[in-house]
Amino acid sequence: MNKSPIIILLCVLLFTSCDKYLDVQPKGKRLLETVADYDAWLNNVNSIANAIPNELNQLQDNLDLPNISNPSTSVNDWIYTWRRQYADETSTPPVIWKDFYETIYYFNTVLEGIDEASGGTPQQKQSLKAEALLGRAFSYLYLVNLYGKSYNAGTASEDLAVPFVTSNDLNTPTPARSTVQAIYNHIIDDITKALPHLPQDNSKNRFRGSVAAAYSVLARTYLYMGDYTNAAKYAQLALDNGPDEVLDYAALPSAAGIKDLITRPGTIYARLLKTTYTQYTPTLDYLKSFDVKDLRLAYHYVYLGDYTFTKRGEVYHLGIGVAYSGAYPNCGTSVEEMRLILAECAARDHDLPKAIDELDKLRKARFKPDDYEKFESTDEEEVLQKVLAERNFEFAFNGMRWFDMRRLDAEDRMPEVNRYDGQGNVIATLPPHSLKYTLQIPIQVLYFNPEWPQNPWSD
Amino acid sequence: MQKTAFDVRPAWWRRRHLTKIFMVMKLTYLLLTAFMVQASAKGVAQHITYSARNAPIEQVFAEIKKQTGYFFLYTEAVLEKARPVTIEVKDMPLAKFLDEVFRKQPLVYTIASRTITVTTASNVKVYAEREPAATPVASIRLKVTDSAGAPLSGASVTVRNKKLSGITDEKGELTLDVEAGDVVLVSFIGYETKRITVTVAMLAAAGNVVLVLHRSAAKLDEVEVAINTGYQQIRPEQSTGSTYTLRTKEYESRINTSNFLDGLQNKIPGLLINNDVKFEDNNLFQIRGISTIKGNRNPLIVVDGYPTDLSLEMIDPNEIESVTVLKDAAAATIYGARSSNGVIIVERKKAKAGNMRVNFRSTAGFRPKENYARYRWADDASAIVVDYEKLTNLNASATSWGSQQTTSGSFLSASPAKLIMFHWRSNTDPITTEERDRQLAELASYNNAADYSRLFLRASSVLTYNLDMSGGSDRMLYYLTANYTRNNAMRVNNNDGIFRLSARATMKMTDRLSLDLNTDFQEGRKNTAPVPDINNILPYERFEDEGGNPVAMATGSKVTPLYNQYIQSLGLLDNMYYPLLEMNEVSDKARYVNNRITAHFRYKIGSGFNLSFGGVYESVRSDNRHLANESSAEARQIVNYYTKPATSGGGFIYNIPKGAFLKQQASSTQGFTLRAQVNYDKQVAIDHSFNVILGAEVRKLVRSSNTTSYFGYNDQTLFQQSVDFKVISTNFSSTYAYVNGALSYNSLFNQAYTDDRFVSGYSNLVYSYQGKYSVTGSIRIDQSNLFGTDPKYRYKPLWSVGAAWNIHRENFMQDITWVRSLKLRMAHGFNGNVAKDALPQVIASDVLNTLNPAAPIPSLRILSYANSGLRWEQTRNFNLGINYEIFKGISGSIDYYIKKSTDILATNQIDATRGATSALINEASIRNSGLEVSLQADWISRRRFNWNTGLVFAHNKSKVLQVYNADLTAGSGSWQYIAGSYANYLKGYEVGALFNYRYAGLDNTGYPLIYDSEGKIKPLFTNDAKILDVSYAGSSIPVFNLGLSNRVDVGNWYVYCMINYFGNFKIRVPVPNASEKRPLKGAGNYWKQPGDENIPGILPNPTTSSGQQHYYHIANSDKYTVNGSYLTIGDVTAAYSFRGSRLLRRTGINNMELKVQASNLYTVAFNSYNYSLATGSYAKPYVTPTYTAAIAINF
Repeated sequence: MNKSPIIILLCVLLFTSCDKYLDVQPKGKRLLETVADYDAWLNNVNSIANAIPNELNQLQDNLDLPNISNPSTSVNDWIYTWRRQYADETSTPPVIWKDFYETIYYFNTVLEGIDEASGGTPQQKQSLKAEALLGRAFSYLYLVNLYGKSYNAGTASEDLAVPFVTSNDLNTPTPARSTVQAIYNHIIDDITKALPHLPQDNSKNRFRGSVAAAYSVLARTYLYMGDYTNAAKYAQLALDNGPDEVLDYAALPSAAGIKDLITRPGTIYARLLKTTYTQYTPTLDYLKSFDVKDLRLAYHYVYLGDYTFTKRGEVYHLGIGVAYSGAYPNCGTSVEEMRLILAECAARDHDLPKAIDELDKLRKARFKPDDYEKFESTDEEEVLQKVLAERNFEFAFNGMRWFDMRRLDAEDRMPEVNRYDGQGNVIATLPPHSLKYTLQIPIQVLYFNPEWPQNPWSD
Repeated sequence: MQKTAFDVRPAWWRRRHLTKIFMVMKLTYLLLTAFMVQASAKGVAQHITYSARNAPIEQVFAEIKKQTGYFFLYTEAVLEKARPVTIEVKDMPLAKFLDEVFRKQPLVYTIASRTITVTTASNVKVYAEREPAATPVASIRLKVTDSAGAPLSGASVTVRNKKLSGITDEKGELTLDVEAGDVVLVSFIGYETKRITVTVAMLAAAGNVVLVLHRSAAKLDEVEVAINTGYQQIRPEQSTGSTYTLRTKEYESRINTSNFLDGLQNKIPGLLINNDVKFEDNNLFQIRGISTIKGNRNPLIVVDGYPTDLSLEMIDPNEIESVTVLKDAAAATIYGARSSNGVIIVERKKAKAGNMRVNFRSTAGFRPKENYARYRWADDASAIVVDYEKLTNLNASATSWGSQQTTSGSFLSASPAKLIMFHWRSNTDPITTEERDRQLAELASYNNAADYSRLFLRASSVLTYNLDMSGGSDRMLYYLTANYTRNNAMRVNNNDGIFRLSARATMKMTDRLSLDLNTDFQEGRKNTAPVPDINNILPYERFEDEGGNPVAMATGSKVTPLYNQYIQSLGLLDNMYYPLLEMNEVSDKARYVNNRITAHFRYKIGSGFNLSFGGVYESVRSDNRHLANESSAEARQIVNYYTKPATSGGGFIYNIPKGAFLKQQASSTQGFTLRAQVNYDKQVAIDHSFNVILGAEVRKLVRSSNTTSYFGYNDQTLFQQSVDFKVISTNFSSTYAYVNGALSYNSLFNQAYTDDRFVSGYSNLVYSYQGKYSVTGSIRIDQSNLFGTDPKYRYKPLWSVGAAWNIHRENFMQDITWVRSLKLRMAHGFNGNVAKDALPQVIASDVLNTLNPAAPIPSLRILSYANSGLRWEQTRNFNLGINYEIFKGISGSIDYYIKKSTDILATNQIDATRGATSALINEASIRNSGLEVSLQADWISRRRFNWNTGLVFAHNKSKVLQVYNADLTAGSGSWQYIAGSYANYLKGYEVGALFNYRYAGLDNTGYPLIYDSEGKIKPLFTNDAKILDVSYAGSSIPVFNLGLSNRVDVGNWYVYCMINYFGNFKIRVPVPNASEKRPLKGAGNYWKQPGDENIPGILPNPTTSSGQQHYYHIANSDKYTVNGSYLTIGDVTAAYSFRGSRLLRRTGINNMELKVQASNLYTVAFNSYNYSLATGSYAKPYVTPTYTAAIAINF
């Protein structure tokens, strides 16, 4: 038994070095460890740059599906007809919902790990953290406007929106649904927290955060909240801190001049659709609302024929642009959007000259000089409608129209929208103030969170 | 046996009949020894094989010493009375052999501590004839037991001062008349001899004296009958786990040539080895079903006490001493996180002390060529294929022929028959209908199967040579072995060889310290050349012309001869594939070197404690060299693909230079396991016995590999040319030969590296009471560099408990003499498994962000999500079993088990709110349950005749309890259930579930009809009712397997036969399809016009693409999904041993044995198509046997 100390010693030796022995980094795979790792992580394409679900375009009023089958089995058709749920059973991925939370996962991964990252200066860490806060806030801005009611200061603190997820560990339980007010508070707080640390310039990669990007997202946030004073304030701040020139289509030799979004002029905060190579059929009404000389028509739509737009399904909106130059629409923020926010806020603030001036700054870049006619009006509503129409032209099929539809509906400006089959029969209707303006929580999500209340609905 | 309980008779009677009694006892002993041999599984370690005629007894002693290492103690005077010995035995236990020898001698012997003492029988007589002593002797009843309390029958008892000896009966008892002061020696083979002096107290105790013998301290060459778990030796009666041990005799009844696993097939209940049935592209090699999805499914293999990560080729089948399989938790938990699939423990042959023994073995096997004439291919395959092309191309595009001569040519890989049709349809230079039919008829008239066999196949052969030498003394034993195996595959130019060397030594350094040192070296080579697969060749294509020159073939050429002419006219290389050239121009040479060293120290501390520590180091280096010479189609086609016209001045830019293509892959694996362990093995008081181990283990496994490639290479000059690899790594569009296919940059240049580390602590306890009851418990904690942040899972140990009851030792069983042994055991616990594709934190991989193609920036993408809840996969294991031995020589076991594997890592659906819709998480669950029965019976056992039957039966039923199957959701169409392997893991079904349509014939357009769930007939794909349109057929994995072996020994001969059965599973029979390259019989019998659908057995119309799709689907209908059960006659072996022949004695050869064997002789399937998977494919209706001859000589 006198040998037992040797045994004990052996065991102790074995186990004390355990932690060190087991702590090895697998090769060929990268664990996020250094500040540079997190920097590269934010350059991700598939989940951060290509972040906005194409399905948002299916909801909007200017899309036409002339070949829709009835009844339909395709998810896109279901969304197009504002079906209650976009799935029949719980084992399919929940469209739209999953895409935003996937992006949020990337940002949460930065927020959870950046403090322990090695290398880099504290400033760099702060900056990456700020970018992640901004990016996450931007994703929540979509979610709160899809699954929560339109912002109404009176009820926002009771209206349920989406859960505010901050962990990237699959083992962490999903939190309960937050209120619309809470999500908006998070968005504004996070961006405010991020602002002091954000880089001034993102011109090398517009998908990354910047001070201007933060202001621009705030401008959009306040616009959606109906706080036009703040919206205008931050839109102006965005322009003051970043690019302020709209991309001049008239100065381009052709559609081929619209280049990759990552460095495209006029872009403040870039986001692409999940699937960028898109072909959308616009409704005839929408096409007809264009001025035929509008370069946006010429640069993004094919098979325009004689511009009479009489047959459904002939004209396509091409995401890549007619010159196949990578002219994909920006779902993020841009100088154009800021100008239109300024115009809208001015119009609502009875400052028509300012509104018309901002409109002019955008519109004259969308027509050849010879074709351009400046918009003039003294009617407040007419100016506002012009701004809204211009938003619809400028933001064609970039996933933003649905949010404008919701805003307009909340202030009784949105007419009834109908869907037609190939024979022109109405197959779905979105009446004013329809509960359908707030999407249902997907059944695939409720399956995992059965205690959540569902949003109200009526067919 | 009651006749030996002779204490009911008066003492004087007993004394007078002592001689007689001893004779009776001798007989009893003989019988007992035989039983004991059975009871201890496969016999006592020491066996004698010997034959002699009128040999002096000293010679017999010398032989025993040589074969067993036992010493003899006698005086010359004693031997004077000895008679010459005539005896002939084979593999007889030592004790039995000694009895046999001493039966006719006036001598008696006793064994104590490896020493056999010989005295004259007259000494006994003297006592018997002696006058009664003045002081009457008293009777004492001695009971001799082992440390576990089990009676030792046949123990030798000697009263030293009285020269009196006897043997204990089956209860371990013997009644002796002794007086105080007598010295009694009790000995038993394998146990330490006990010496007691009879005291007055003992006599006063009415003569009940229990003597406990302890196992003698590990004798160097002592082979334990115990169950070896790799960590611990557990006596069979104390084991509570489900284990099965296969020993040399069973294993070597057949000739084992190269693959060690072949000899295990259907010999171990619960171990399923089947190379015919594939699951997820792997052969079946599993214990008790499949219990993981992503993890390793193979059992863990342990050699020389340590797990091995080397390939199974390193195990030389000639060296198998025993194979033990640990199946349930009680047995295998000690292996912790790698034991879910069970453990296979291989013990290799060991040296015996004594003079050097030399064994030489050689085997030669061959397998005849395929006999294509017997295949189920259509006799008129060429005509069917040609007709099919004719029918489907009657309206071929008029420009298809002409466009073959331009860069935009379509149908670049059209078959020759199709090309004739194009030519006929051509709008430029058409041929006449007569010419077309003449050309087609010419094609149809030739079938290349015979030429294929002549040019590309040969009878395959395997040659092995094996030499081993062993011997040594008590202090040092050595075992050296060398093996060479060469295998010529059936396809020409394909062969492999392996050379193995192994040296093993056991050294007893001091009385306390001993060392086992094993080193193994293997070097293997494998040469592969591209011989085409006959199934991928059109039946009418020729390999050589009349002059014997190689001819190009459509398949593999990628382009038609017409287009080839065109690009050659431009100046590109010949794009055609000449199979007869290619197999000499392209080669894959693989070479690997394995090294394995184990060192294991044992240190005896005393008081039942000992310490063992040691480790294993393994290393594998392998190189693979793929060379395609400049003239090979492979190299030419690569060059053509990357050739572009020069931007100016004509000519070409060769992005890949002309010349050979060389790809070299090097990989290495290095691993070690270190272990330190404290053992405690002791009997406390008389009834309690403990066997406890406590230890820790460290393991590390590093794998790395790299790949590099060279172009424009010359293997002679070693010249190679530089290439701009950006051409390969970015999208390159080929100008001339896009059908050739692009190279993948990552397969040309690659690096891989993994480093897995484990630290484990474990303990196992066996407690036994009176040898009747035993309980076991084991616990193990594993930690690795892959796992573990959540404390909830981090130190979650795997554990097991078990209990066993040796019923036959109960008093109430003592009268039921036909039950020799009966043990009931039960065990419950957990095993683990590792799946390594996830970590607790985010894993990312590098990828370029090319949103700005001109200036790519580094970026990362996610590979796996952070999951702090990640943990080992777990299998909860319940086992209930019995071990039995009834009558003489009939023994076996029955086991029932339920294995529920939970926390199986699988891609499961998760709440999308967490950032992903599915992730690799511990959520899947599979249950396996089954029954296993084994039987070993010596039906007839005579001196020169023995008939032994071995039966192994196993049943395993699996059910997937929980899994997320992304391919099969409630919304999935019916076709998804039958497509591919989507249903392999489907909740509520067996693993490997197969679904099928209910076939209902054809409609009047030649398309299939099915019955819907209500029995109504409807066209396939109409109003698809999802899962209701298909029905569940069963699993594709056999539920039953059965092995039946019979061996009959007659004198020096034996004949052995093994029958295998795999049952209750479903297989798909291919549908004869005229569009295939080598259609099956009946393929031409397809629907051509309305009305044909009434012809019984008519096939759908294959001439449209939709028709082809229907062929795919009816292959998955109940008409073609059949019972896969089949039976094979695995091995028939005959052997003759020259043991004892004069010829051998004169040459000094100890024994010579000749064996011949035919394997894989016959198969029968239990379905209407008689399709047995053993044949390899449906087209082949028979099995090709392997014939092997072996010679074994030992000196």
